[in-house]
Amino acid sequence: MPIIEEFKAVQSMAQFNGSTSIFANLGQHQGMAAQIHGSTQVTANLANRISLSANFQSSTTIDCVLRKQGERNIDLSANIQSSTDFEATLRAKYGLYARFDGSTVISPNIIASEAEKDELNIHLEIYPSSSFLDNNQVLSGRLLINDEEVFITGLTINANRNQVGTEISIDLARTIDRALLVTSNIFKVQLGAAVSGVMTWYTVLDTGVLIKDSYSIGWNNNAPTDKVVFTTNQQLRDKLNKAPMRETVFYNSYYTTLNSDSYETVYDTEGRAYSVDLVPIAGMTLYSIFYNVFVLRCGFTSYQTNIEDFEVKNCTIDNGQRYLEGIGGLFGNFNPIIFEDSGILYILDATQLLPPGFPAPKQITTRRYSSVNITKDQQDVEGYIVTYSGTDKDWDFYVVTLKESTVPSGTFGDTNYLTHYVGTYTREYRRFSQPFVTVNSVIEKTIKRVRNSDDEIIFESRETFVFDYLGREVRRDKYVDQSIPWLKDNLTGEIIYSFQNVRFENDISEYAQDPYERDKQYRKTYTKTIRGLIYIDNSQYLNGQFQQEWLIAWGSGNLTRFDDVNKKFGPIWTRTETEYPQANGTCRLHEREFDHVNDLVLLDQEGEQVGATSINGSVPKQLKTIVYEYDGYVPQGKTLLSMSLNEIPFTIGKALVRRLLKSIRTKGHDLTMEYTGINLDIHRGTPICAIGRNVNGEDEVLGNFLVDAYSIVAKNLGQETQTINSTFQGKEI
Amino acid sequence: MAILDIEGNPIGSLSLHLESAEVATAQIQIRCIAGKFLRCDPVDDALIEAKLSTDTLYVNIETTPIDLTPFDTLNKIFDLRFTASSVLLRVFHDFKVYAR
Repeated sequence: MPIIEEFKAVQSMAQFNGSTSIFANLGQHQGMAAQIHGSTQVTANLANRISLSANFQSSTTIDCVLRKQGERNIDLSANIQSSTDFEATLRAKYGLYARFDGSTVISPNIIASEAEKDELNIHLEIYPSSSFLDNNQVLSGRLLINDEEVFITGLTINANRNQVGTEISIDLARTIDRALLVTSNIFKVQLGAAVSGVMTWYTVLDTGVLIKDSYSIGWNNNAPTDKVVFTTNQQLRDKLNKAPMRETVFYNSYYTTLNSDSYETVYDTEGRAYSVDLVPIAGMTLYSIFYNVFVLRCGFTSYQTNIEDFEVKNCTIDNGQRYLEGIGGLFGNFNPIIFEDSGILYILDATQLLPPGFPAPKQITTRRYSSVNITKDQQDVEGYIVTYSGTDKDWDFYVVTLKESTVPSGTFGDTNYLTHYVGTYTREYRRFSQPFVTVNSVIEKTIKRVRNSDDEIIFESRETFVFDYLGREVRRDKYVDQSIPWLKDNLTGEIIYSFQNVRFENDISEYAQDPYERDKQYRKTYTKTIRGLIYIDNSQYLNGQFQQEWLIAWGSGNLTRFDDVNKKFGPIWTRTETEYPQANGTCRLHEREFDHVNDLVLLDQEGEQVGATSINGSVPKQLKTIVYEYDGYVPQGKTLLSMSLNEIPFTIGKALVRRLLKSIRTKGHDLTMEYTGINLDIHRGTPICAIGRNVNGEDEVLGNFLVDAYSIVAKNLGQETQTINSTFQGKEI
Repeated sequence: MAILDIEGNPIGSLSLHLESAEVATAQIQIRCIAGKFLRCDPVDDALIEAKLSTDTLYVNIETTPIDLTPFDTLNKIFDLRFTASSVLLRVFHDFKVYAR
């Protein structure tokens, strides 16, 4: 009968055993472990977000798809065993480990390097047409303080490279107006153009605040040259200058539970306490941090970004550190262009190229500009050394070695002569980087064998250990066979010995995802069972049936009966340990021991244990790799730059690095264009196509650029000689 | 399922600048899976349409997702058409196109 199951839950563990075929479809968001055994066919589709471990066994065919959803994937592991053949498709966005064991044909298809993207973030900007204003029109600029116009003679607008926000320096026409330069006033700056005698004003700064003012007195040509200059900027900078008064830790509560006791409380000289501000966010991502910081704490209405979202485990901002700097490490690699419009904060990925197939940027002809300058620093770079967070085992592969020894005892030729053989199979874990160095070793199998003087085996024990894909012990089996007194010859009264299986020990450990630390696992249950040969005797002095383990009965002289009903092979003793992790890092341990021979509960208790119970399923560590521009690139021995991805998933980081490398190789020009007038279309983040000279009737395309800085200078405002000139800078994309 | 550019590179985000009332077209490639749809978030000030590149009629994918089931396992090129509304002031909108 096929077993059909479907699970959609927060956390689950599933085990499927089927004698014919199994079709399994598992999908959930956090932790899942699945074990699927089918004797003929297994068809499984496992989809999960955080951790997924699967174990498939089938004697005929296995058809399974393991797939991680979204960008929040961490580990995917599969253990697939088949005695005939199977096909498996494993897809993971971050970590993937797969083990395949098959006796005939295995066709695994593992795709782990490239994330499949099923969503495309688009930042769309629509601007009014015909925004280019030149000095053929009447241009002007004006200042309004609290919505009242104040006369000015000049202004300079600077949106500098690698700086957030815009600064405007203004020369006041009347020095008396310097009384208006107070921080409580709101400044608005506008540029205007007169079309057919009607002046239209365009606001370039709204709700600006005073950040600097200066007043100078001077004489020149027997006339005063007194001057008042002040600088204002957008409140954007005020919002982005905000900093927490307490150390603030945003953390992903899927993975861990933080306790404020672990942090130091700081006191000021007035005795005020500044304890840590712990902010748990379930399934925290870059976007949830943006929302918590930019909207809830900095005061923006909302934020918009085209940087891809990814899961973040922890983000700490020191008290007094600007929020923007505190979280900047998460997304700084994208060289973001940050600006505000109508209270919305825009964070644009400046590394994004224009994908082939998308429309080219708007053309800007140089014929309207007074000067154009294109420069490029040649960089001989062929790759990046990328450091990223990952999980790993501390070994890559293992080899099994066998050590044997045979030791005699007694005197050769006498009946007391014995040979003792010990064979030990050791699993030696090693790294690819140092293949001959053993990182760690564990015993996989031990065989002990004793032969008598007639070379007959009189004792043999076989102990085997089974480990999972992370090298953890999941099972131990020990068989003990021994030559024991078995029957009594009714004629001679002589005890006849027989080589029998007298004892079987079995340990089983099961691991589960820690509910409080999602990237860790703990040993959920440990069961040790001893089965063995049991001696049964009703003729003893005890009331009722006397039972004792055969080996003990033999050793203590209790063996008196040798018939068919005085022996059985059955359970002797069982011990189980079950762990229940607690939120505070401790665990409750339930221990139970049962004596099957005497039908007695030896132990049944539960207690709290101090200390974390979790063990690392895999080892979180900093991994390093070299990324070249494209698959199949042959290294030339050129310069490698370096980049630390921090919490950016490798798949997103790899694409980012490749964009940068392509840009270095094929692009990388810097553009500076100066022109007379104002182009209101151009601001930070505007992609433009620069057009050069017209040669033989063809416009030369100088390249596509992303504007990242600009300045506007207005002079002699209110006079006949007034001019407005602009400059913008861009990086080639 | 994957969204790729027409050269087969995965793409995750981009910026698009349109003039008021401008119409622009782009091409993307989708590695199709049965049961998935090509669709997008509702967008103010713009109409987002798509069609299989071999088709002639565009579909408003803000309201009518395109079923990718007929192209299961195939890489197909789709045309996207962006039609900007007439605006008097510069506007920004961030939205997502999905193939899921």
